[in-house]
Amino acid sequence: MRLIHKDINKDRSGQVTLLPENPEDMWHAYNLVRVGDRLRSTTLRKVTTENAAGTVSSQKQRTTLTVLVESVYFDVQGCSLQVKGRNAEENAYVKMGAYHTIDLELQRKFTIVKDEWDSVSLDRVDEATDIARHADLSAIVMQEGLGHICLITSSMTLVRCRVEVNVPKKRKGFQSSQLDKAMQRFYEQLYQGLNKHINFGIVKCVILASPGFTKDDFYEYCFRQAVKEDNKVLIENKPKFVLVHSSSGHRQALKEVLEDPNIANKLADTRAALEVKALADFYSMLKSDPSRAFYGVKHVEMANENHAIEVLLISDSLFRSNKIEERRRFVKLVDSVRENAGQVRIFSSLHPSGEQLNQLTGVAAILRFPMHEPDDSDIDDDYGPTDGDGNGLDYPTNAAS
Amino acid sequence: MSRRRVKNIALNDDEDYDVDESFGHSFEDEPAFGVSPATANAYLFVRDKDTGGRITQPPLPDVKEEPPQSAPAPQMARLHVATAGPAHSVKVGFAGAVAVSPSVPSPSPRLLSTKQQQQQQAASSASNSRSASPAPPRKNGADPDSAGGDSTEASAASAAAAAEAYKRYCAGLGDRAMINLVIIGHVDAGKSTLIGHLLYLLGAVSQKVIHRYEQECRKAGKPSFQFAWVLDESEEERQRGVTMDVARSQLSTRHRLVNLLDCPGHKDFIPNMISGAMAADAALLVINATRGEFESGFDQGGQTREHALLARGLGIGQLVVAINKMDTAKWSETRFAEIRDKLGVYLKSVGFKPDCVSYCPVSGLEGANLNKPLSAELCPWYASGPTLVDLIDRLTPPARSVDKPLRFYISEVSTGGRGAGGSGAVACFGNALSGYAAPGHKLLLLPANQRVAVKAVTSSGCFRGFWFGHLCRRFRHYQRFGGGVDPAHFGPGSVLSSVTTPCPCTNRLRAKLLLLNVSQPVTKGYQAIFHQQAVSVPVTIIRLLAQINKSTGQLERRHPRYILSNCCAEVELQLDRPLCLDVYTNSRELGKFMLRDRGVTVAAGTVVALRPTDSSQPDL
Repeated sequence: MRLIHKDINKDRSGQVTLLPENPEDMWHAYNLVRVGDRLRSTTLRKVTTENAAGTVSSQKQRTTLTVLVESVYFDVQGCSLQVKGRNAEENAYVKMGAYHTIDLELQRKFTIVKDEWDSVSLDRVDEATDIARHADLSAIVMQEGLGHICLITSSMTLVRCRVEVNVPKKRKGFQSSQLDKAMQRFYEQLYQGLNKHINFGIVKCVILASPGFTKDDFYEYCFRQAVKEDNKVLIENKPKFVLVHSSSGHRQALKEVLEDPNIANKLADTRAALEVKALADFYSMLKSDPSRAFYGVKHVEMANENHAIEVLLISDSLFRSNKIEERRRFVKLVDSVRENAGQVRIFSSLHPSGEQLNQLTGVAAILRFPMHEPDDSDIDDDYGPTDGDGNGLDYPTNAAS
Repeated sequence: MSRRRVKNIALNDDEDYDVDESFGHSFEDEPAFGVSPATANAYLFVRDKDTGGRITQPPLPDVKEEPPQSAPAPQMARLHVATAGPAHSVKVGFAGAVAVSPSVPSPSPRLLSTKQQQQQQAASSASNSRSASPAPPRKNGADPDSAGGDSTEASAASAAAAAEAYKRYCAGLGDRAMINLVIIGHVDAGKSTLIGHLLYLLGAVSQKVIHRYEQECRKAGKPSFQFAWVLDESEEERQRGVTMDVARSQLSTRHRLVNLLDCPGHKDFIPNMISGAMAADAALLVINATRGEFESGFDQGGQTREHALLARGLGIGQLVVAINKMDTAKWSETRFAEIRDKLGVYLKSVGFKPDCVSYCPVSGLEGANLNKPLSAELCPWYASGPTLVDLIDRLTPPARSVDKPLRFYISEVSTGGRGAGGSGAVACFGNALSGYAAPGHKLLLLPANQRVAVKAVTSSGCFRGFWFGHLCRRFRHYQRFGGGVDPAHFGPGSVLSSVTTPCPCTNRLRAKLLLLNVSQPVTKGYQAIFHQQAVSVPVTIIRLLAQINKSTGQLERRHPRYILSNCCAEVELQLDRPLCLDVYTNSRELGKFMLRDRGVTVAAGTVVALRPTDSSQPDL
């Protein structure tokens, strides 16, 4: 994404103009545009004109519209963003207050006008316009009869294609040629999917992962076919292929793929790998010292009041909430953790680790010192660190603000 | 040629169909309903000739020739239709093999029945010429009459039919009980070789075949694999020298007919091993006695432990431990005792009762102590001990439930398989978990929710032609043919169940989990892979309901934040797609599952309750 223009006032209102260049930028845009903002962009409007003879004709007219956002929709597979709202500015073709849906297009700039630019949004603008390009990887996780072809960017993991073929198991006296036939069919479909969905121009590495020997077989099949069909693109990109072990062919195996040390150097600064590691740290802390690992909004806020948070793991889906109050609450949490010299990791919901965090209420924290876990039943605002009945509060009481 | 005629007739259903003929009986009983008598005759005639020509297998010696009985057929059919009421009144005799006729899931029931009628008629006529096949021998102890004699109103007819069918079935069985034995153990313990050699010694494999394999092995550079190649038949397995998928074979000992399931030992192929072990009643754990090998297999990362754990988790209660490769350990008694003691401690901790475990030193490659007892010079301390075959003989077959509604679990499907019997037939392989069925019966395929009818039944992989439903306990390994149905609906994990009491099918359930060794604590949102019978599906834990004391079963904590290893908990699970499940108390096979993650078995679980399917997608 390219930053064209940024104008933020002292009272945190202002506008930012951006130019999206690739599909991932649409994801960043989706995280930026919220209900109540104003979005200005060129768009197509169907205009009906009636000429003197009385015939009605309609044509698509390109015009720049400013829309007061009412709803935002993001299509994951196609990476397209549609913003619906009412017209907020005088326009030759559209009445004020008329509804319009803007479909943001690549290579066309758009402007977001917000009343309040909080730290999280500004961070996201910075991240989106960061010139350092992170690695784009593609991974194929497979097992006998099931395969997923995925694209992993720094903030998205998209399953481009899913192949499922019924492969019969072996039986006594069963011709093993039939088995092979089914596997060949399976490999054929994977091969087609590979050619169709993987753009070798932008992908730095293609990971083949499977339990057992499936990946080796597929690798050989792939290049045999490439030679047979004289597929130059594939043959040139042969060094990009890496074979890695995974425990299954389901989507969850992607997590293991990202943690594998063999490809760690290729992934070095990919957000996906960092996120996976952060979540793994949280879980190991939960196992070794449960009173230093909290999850759930109330628990984490309580921990925050005591300045106990060292690392905050939070999912970006919380910031996409339509209720301003809720969003403010989380932004406040993030800001206060930063003030207290803690680290904040915002997880993207499209990565497998982000999904897992979402399931785990979306917010988790690793604490600096152990804290007593509040009972789920009695979380109230009076709960303070200096609890009179001495329920195992083993942190220094002067930590209380 | 005759088959083509049948097909044409089937297609002309509509024209021949006449509404007024439905008086008196249920239309599904009348074989010739909806078809003009001339056509029916032609059809009948054709079918007879057809099947008469096709059944070429000679009847096996043990088996008594059954008198052709066409009477029970309509009776069974009528039974099937009439008892639409209370759940367990459908006493469908379960035959070893059920062939599913081309049953079209058509909106009009008449068309369906007509086709089915034709098939049924075909089946009934075929039964006249059928040869009683050696269906797997039934278990000795169970009482057929009690199964048939359940007390429901409609059961008078059903009991009679059931007992009838059961008698016919038993007649074909002889006096051997059937048992399913799964072979497990660490990589390179010698499982395939042991079984291959055993099959050879018991005569199931000829000397010529072994000789041929020996030569091929030597050429391929793997000189001692000739026995393993009996079971590892695919090119890849032979080339790599590993078993990759479960191999099935059969052998008969003095008192038992054993269905063997040879499992792979590698960590990566454990899902295959789980599907094999789910079908088993007892396990043969093969241990490598070679110094160093046993230790590495028995370590934390080795498969000896995991296989034993999985076997116990899947409900296998009896274990025969074969300590293999004793020739490399020079038949030393100390080594045998050492292994036996270490294993004994572990197996007891896993949950195997000490009197259900027996130990036996063998050498798979040499063939020592498999069939013939050891000689005193070779092994003085075990000279009089039981051989492996003796120990297998002593295994108790479990009780089979025939009175429960039919559940046939499909583990594989093949279209256009051999002898599939014509247009659009689908052959399904799998296990009968409960109940029984016969050709001509209408069944419900879940979770696709399609109706199919049975065309033919074969047992244990051999095509025996059309024959009648014999009452049989838990029948294993049989084929069904279903035609006219979209084969995409059939797949591993589908269940053929009786129409009146269909198997529940959902993607949300409450379950009791016993956590094994987990590397990280289990919280809400934990994702793993759910293994049940032959399928595996990604699953998410959406709620932790309670933590339960492992031994007493009492509630320890309500809504825990996380659960650690070796704890027992009640959780709510959501699967990625609906599966046929049932509460553990209703059906043990469908209610058991394992959770695995990252190549390690994380938990063993049983289904406590089912929730309606939740198809909501999590939004971003």
